[in-house]
Amino acid sequence: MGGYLGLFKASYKVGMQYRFDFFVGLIRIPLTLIILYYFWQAIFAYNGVEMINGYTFETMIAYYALSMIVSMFTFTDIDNWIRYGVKSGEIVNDYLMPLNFIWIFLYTHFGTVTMSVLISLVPTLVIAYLFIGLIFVSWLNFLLFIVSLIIAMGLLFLISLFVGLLAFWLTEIRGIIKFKQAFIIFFSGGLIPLSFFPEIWQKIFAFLPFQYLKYVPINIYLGIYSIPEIWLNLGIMFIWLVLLYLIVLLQSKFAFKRLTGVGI
Amino acid sequence: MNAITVKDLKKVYRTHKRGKGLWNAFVSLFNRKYENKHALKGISFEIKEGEVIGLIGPNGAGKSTTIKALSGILYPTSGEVNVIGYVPWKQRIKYVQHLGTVLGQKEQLWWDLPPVDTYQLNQEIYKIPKNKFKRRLNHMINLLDVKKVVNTPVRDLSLGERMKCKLIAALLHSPKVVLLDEPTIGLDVIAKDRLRDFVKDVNRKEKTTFIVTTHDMQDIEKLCKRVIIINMGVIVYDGPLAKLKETVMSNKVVDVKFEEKAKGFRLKGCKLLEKGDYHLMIEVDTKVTKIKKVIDHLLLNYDVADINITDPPIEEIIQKIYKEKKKWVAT
Repeated sequence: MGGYLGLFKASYKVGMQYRFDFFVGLIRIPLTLIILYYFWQAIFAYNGVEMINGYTFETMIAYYALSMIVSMFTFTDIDNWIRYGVKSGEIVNDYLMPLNFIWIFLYTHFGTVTMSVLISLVPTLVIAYLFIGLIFVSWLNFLLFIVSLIIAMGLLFLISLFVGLLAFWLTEIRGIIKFKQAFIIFFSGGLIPLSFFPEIWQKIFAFLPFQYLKYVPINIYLGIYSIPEIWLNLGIMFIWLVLLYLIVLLQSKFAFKRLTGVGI
Repeated sequence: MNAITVKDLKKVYRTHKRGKGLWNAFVSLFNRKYENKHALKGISFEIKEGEVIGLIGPNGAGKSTTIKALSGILYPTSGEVNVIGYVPWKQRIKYVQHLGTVLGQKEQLWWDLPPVDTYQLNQEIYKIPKNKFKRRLNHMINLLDVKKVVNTPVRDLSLGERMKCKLIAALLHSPKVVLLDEPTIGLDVIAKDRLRDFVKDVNRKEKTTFIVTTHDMQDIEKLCKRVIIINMGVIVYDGPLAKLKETVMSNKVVDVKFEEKAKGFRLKGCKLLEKGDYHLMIEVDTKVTKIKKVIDHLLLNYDVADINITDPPIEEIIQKIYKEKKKWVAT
């Protein structure tokens, strides 16, 4: 256990070295939210309606603010770590540590997450106060939102690990990582709530893990689901978590044997 | 006791090959041609506990592949490897606990952190008792003279400083076997010497087994009694360094300086390499004429100021082996 905690500390320290850069990066969040605020204000005013697809203007803005907050917590860079490690050959260092590969990645990831959460804490509270301050459904919703957020962190970590491990086959996965990011923003409801899509699309989304990264946790917070619906969703999220873990476990068994490049 | 046993180790890399130019690059997207590269063609050797072995050979000979198979990074195509009771790539986690590795060409310290942070991490990973860790670290820092640099982020260190710090990281947990892949690459003479002395010291005190790959023959001469020469995936020579010098090159070079003007020199088994006004350089084939006889002859007949007897440089020995490779493989 000690070794893994050491990795956690080291990656936390690395993150802290670039805290200023990270902090400046956070400024984009209020900027984006302000743009979205006026954008949706115009849409609501133009249509002259109170509610679009189940969202009032207030819940719509809260949706985006929550979307940003969820991203802060689920943020992971593990696919890029692996990509760089495989390309540069520095991944061999992971082979030389007497630790399990997946746990090495997990704890390195924890270090980065802790750093990003600590730095994002104040901005998060400010955003929460400014944009969603008026919406608080219940403590139960809040608690279940936290549970869903933790599972969502696990899901995105596993998806990124899956993409990262592809580097053992493809070497360069920069394009795939970009694709993954765009794909996830779209399919997780980061761009617009998924209820804006046609019925058929929504049925397809239900069979994919991506809506659980953002759309579902946000709706849990906003009280859009009933309590039994929330429990059902949490159940499905948990099943996805286990399933993805097993897939990545199997994938990693093959991946690590593939490190054969002559130059590595 | 054998620390390392390698039997008939083979490794085939599959790399994809493509022709020159844009068109061929495009074609290779759809029609990939693969090429098998036989990096190791069945090598076998045994290494005893506490030995320091030099693994040498030209670029692409298979040295690094051997090191990687021994460190558990690489899954070989076939063959057996046993290092201190473990099969490296099968029992990786248990095995690397007792292994130290320095890869000269790879960054092994956390780039954004000072080396002490990597050491701290290693202390936790290898569960080194705190007191022992502190003592050992201080001792090593003093030996390698890196006190001033261990608190500076690695990205700000020079090549030599980084290499020294890497060596410390690899040895902190008192490994039984240490693999050094080109540990002196790019270092200046003083740094090289310090590094070698350090390795020698650890080997002597802790009976650590070392395998060193290098292109610098000084490393070999200063560290190793036994050498394994590998070329094109085959072991060309495995034996004492002294014997290698003796059999491949039984020649010595005698450099004499005179008080008077140099006269001509003729003796059986000797070849005049160089003739200056006040000095001669003579190559002696010690199989024909003993070195003593040459010296006696010189002292008796000349007014000698200085004599210097040297081995031919080991680079020459290796070149000679490559030239006579066919003979070597046959015997």
